[in-house]
Amino acid sequence: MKLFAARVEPRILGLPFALAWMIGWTVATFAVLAVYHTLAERERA
Amino acid sequence: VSDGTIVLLIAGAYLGASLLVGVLPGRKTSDSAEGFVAGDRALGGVVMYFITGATIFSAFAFLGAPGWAYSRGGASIYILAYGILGFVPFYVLGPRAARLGKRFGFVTQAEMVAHRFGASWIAGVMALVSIIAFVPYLALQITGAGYVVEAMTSGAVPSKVGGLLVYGVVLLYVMKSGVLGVGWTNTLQGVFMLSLAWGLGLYLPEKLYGGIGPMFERIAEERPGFLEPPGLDASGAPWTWPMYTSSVLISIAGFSVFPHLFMKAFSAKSERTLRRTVVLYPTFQLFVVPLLILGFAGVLFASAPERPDQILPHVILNAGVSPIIAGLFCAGALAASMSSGDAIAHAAASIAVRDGWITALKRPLDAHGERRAIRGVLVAVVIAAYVVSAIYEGSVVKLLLFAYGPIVQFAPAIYATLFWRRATGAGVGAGLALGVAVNVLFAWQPSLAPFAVHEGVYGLAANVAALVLVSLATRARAEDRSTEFLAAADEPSP
Repeated sequence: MKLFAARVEPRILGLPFALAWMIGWTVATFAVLAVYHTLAERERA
Repeated sequence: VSDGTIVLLIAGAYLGASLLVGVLPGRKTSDSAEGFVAGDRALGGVVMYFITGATIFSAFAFLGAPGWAYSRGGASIYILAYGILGFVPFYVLGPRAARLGKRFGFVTQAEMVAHRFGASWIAGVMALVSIIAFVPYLALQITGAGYVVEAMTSGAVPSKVGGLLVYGVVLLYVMKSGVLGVGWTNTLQGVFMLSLAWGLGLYLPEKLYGGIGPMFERIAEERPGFLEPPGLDASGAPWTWPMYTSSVLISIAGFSVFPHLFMKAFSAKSERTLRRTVVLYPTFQLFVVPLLILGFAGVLFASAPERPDQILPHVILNAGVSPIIAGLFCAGALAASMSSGDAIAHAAASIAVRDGWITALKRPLDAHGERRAIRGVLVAVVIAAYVVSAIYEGSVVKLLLFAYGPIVQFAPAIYATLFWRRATGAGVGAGLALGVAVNVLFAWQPSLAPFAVHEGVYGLAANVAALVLVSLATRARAEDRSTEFLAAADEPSP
């Protein structure tokens, strides 16, 4: 089975695609959490 | 001045700085368990950030993650994958636990569970499982520290003496300052590890391959398929997607309930601090990236270390880098070992005394006596771990596989305790016992499992089934405090 992100090419900033993909999710998760947290804290205040 | 002396001086200066920061925290705590274990529930944002980040990551990250990248290729991306979501549940769990801690005076996870159900034996079971997991884990940290000392002194100081030396320092600052010693040294150690990992992760591929891009290009050419997930298993055979995926899921499920991490919910000064710690956590998590890159840098290196998790020190000390960089690296590796080791030792001692002796065996102690007892057990735990590390050597990793896995089985108990009205002590206890038993069985005999997935999956399935069925079939005991308990968990405080 070949999954979409389980590949080496195209490489992004020199990194294998699969690794860059996961870094992308880490950054995206942080962004979503930060926005949620900001809104939720405003509500709690 | 010879190169070896420079390496030693830097690492020695670092150990000295750790000791200083550890024994002189800016603030004094009360002479009680609450002060020693939970820092009087007054830790602020910066220390909380580093205490959670460094506690979780250090041990495994600095040596283990590069080891995975080096020996298992694309499988190592799993470490990044579970770290993304692993701490997120704590956004909700942490503040609920903190409210309960403030209200009822908890400083450990197990006493919280035991208190709700009026079932002190549950604390005993959880304490036992935790200590069995922590001693080999600590032993591994001591072995790691010893190896670094041996490598940087070119064998002049043998590994066993090195481990003793480094953990003597750890023992001193944890004894003196409790969780504040752990917190402040973890801040120093965290800053150090973060900058070092990024610095080395960019420098070493440049030096060895002329950049990160060319490095991966060559690996992809010479080892086709190696960089693609799911990568390889520990024996070098192809890993499977079910194993990869289930390992990610189990690691996420267990992440927040590791006792030494969970109990930090009781140390934060406010719910807001706790939530912000969770939100900021991915910024710490990103430091796995340079560590993976460093592991990959070892793939095409001319020589190979004895064990995969020695790849990073092996490459650094054999790649002809400047002694200053080698010295900084050695100090960073010691920081990695120490910042997990101190939290583990501190948690093991606190749990043994609070959950084992006081809660389960019902031997109350006064505040001062409790603090003294925890210090005594702390020495015993470090000595026990040192003996294990000195005797077992190679097989500690195997021991850990059986010992550390069952901790994940705390998760259903914690969620039920904090959220599920209908849960009973009998249900939680039955789930815990069955989950741990199934987990150990399939870790020991994987061929008995119907499908090749992570053994924790079977453990959790049995655990949740038993917890739900037994809870529904039993009624709360007279000592049960669920109503008051859940009301306190729902009541927000700033």
